[in-house]
Amino acid sequence: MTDGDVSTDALAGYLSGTLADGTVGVADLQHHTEGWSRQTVSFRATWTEGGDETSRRLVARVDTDEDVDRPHDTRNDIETEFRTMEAAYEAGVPAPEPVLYADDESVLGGAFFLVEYLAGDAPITWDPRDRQRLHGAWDDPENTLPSQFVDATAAVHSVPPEAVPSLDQTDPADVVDRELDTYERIYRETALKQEPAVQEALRWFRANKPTVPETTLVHGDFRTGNVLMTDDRLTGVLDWEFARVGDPLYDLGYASTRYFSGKLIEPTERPELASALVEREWFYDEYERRTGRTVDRDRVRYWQAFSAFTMMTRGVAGAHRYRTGEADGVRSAWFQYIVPGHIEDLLAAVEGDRT
Amino acid sequence: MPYLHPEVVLRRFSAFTRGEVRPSVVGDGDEFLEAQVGSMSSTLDFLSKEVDGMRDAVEAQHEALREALDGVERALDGLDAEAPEVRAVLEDGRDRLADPPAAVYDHEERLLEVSSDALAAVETDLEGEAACAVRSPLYDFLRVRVTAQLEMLGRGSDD
Repeated sequence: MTDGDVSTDALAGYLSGTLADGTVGVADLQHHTEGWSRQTVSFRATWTEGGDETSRRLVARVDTDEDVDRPHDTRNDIETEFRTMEAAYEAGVPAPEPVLYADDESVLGGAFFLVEYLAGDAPITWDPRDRQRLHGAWDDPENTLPSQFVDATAAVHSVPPEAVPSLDQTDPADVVDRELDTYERIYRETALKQEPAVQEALRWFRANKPTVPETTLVHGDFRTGNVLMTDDRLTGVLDWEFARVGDPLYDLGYASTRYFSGKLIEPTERPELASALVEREWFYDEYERRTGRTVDRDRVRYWQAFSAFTMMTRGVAGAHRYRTGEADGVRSAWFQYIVPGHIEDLLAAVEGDRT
Repeated sequence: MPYLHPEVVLRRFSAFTRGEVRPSVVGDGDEFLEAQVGSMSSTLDFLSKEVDGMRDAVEAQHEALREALDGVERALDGLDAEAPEVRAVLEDGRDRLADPPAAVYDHEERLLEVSSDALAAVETDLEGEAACAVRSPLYDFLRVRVTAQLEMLGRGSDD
């Protein structure tokens, strides 16, 4: 039986003898949108162990285009994504329990990994209903979701770089240049228009490079939209494909962008809330208290502005892929519309120093 | 042709995609298809606004850039700065703005070139507070540009 590109029979065949000694049944397959870039399905696996029937809901992430050369794509390969999740899970980060990685492309059409299925939804902060739910959590003093979000951030940064050997072990002194060089190259190679505001931001980024005193594992796409949560419980951090060794304050700045507060065309109603969930200064204060790190506000603001640039660059690169025919998905064309809002934020970040 | 204004057709296609097509695929278990249809509806809506508002947005930017170049000259004169590259770019930019291309996308491209050249010349010729003062009117243009883009895409409208 086939559902989309995933054959439950092929999956069951592979898991029989891999996940369990005997036969593994696969049922109730569902496709998910969490992975725009990688195919994500969940299913129920059932097998008999010691005479007892065991049933577990699992999630498969499949890399269906790992052989495609994508010079403008900063995602890690899927095995590195899995090894990052393993390291994070072992360090106590709330994340799905990793189950297995398989490089046998014959099963699902590409290398894939399995993790446990977790309850909860990843809120879409551009959806007013989801945004209101997050605002409500912040406004409710009894709700510990904001506190759990800080704990999750701190937990990610408790993972030492060497726990994921397949990530580039970048020296702290080289982190800023690595980020700048990577995203400036992508922007210059994919920009369909040379925006003067972006040129100005790039000049500002080069002139105001912060000093990074240490590196940790950095999630790289850390925001409420990549966190599964119920009304009052954070169940797991997802989407580790952008993880890298970097400045832990990068994740704080990234989560603080106006875009991830829910801004697209209109400004968001609660711009003071990072990721629509936590008031920025409270977030930084609590992070300091729980990690012992000093949150250099200028450095966080630098990464916040830089994150607006990286997200804008992803929008530009999506439009470039659509124009060149590399991608024909609707989302690639739509992604151009995130660009003006980010340019507005870049201007706001740099104009105080530049004028 | 056309008998129908393209922005109206695009807006109707967007409404149909959102109101009729998307509900028909919701709940089939394919969240990816749902999201693609949602993105298509949103893209059609943005395209209708672009077609409707692009020319006005570019005209507003043209006027703002013309004023910005005047502001650069006033700033240079006020500083008594020679800044030969900036002044040369200023003169060239005014010439290029005096005869803009008729096609709206080419016209927009012209505005980007003139403003980029001016900012690059400031970077070469000036530094410190003088550079800031001369950049300031050009930043007014940059803000007008991004605001015009966001308003064209629906900011402040009732949609």
